Amino acid sequence: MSIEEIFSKRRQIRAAWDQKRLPSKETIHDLLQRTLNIAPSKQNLFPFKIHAYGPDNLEERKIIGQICALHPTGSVNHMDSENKKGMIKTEMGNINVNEHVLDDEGNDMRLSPWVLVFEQRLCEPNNFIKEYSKLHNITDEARFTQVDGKRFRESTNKSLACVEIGMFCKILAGLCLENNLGISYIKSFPEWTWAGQRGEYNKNTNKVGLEWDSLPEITECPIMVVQIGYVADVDDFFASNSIDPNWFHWENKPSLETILEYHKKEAR
Amino acid sequence: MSIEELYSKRRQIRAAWDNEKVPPKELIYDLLKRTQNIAPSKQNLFPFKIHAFGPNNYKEKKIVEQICCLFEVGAVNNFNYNEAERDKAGESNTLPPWVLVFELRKCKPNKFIIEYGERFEGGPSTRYTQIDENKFRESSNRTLAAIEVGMFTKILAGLCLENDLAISYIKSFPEWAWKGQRNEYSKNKNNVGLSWDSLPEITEAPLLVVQIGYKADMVDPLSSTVEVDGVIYSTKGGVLIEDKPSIDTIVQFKD
Repeated sequence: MSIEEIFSKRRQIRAAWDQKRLPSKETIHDLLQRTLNIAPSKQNLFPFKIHAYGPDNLEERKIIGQICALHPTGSVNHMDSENKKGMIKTEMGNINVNEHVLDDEGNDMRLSPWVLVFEQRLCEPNNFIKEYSKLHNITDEARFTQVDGKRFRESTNKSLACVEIGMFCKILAGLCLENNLGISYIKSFPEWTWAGQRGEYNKNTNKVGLEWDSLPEITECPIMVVQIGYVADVDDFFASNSIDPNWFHWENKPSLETILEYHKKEAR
Repeated sequence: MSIEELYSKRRQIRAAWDNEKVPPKELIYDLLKRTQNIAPSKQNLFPFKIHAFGPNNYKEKKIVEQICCLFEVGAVNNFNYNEAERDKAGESNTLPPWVLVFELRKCKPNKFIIEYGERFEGGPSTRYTQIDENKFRESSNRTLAAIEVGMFTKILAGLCLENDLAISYIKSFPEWAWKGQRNEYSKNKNNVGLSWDSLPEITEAPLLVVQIGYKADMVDPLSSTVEVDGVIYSTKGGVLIEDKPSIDTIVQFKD
């Protein structure tokens, strides 16, 4: 199957996660190991950590759902409905979400069996860093600030971690799709920004849902949430990938010319 | 070909770009178009812009390589190499036919943003700050753009590899961070090479540099990898140093 065929299969799953057929821990571990084997990282450091919450972590997965609820209406996957007896505001008026997202056994199909939380990480110097620093008579931290306890949170390293997490997730997505697993990405949650002068994170507040501090294991800047599971054979009530342009959630990407600029200069 | 087989083929090219066999503009456009068709983006906004410098942009590509030269020794691709190393590398082989510079972009509201955003007090830009002139450069949007650039680039890499094209990534250049209170970018200085201001087209935070071309049929003298019995290793002075962290270092299962 070509790259286009594989990645064209991906859809953002909102309320159609199969609650009966669950990927095992071994499957998820294997997919992550294979991704790590082929994913690129500057100096091979992989400046991020993945917290993996599985089928047995229902409480934590619900907390993450609430962390990813930033707005009074229309938050991603509408997990804020937990606080409103299931009621949410939609373009069709107020509805009880439980009438649309529960499977025949009453399980909430918005909850993916696996949730991965990517956070920034202080790296240990690897052999390359050590050899290189020795060769140039510098400390490990002098050049490679990903291994510097005082500087690894800086904007430069966060930007690097973001690009590499994007690449890592796209490879992971390809492997998931090859194995008929669904994968969704969430980037709607309170952001943390490192305030170097104060030596602490500036944490955005969540006026609707929960804070990252509700999950004590998250101690560094959260960068991305990824959901993995099998897709149930149901209509996804919150799907936004409509093929009907008259439907509210119309898929309209910008034209390539909007994001691409060729620079025409004379040949040398 | 499986995802693993395809992406396992990718190697960072440093000084082995083929300058006789050059991908035409039409091919690069087609690859980018196909990438955009299947790449994900929050609210479909694609909050980045790609500056494409091709075979005719020699001067600009030389500037970009000097921008990606942050250190006196061992800068990425050794763009600051001394004369002896220059001969060894062969200057032409260090310069790829195509260089893409990804920068942050203020988006225009699309149909979804307009229709959905109008339901909120203050209008669409209250919620979708990627379209807000005063907020699109903020840290959260830059973070989002960097992740999406990573995803976009990895799909592009897959399409390149399917077409026997090589693709390299560079993230060693002076970074720009937005200082909202001062309403300007704080631009890291480059003490060795050039700054992004040397390239007037770049006006927003640069996020990633990508190189694309065919690999020449030669050993890459600046390569950090070596192949032994079909397995790729990184070396330094004969010491194998391809040492990614273990999966257990970066993954923690919550049991």
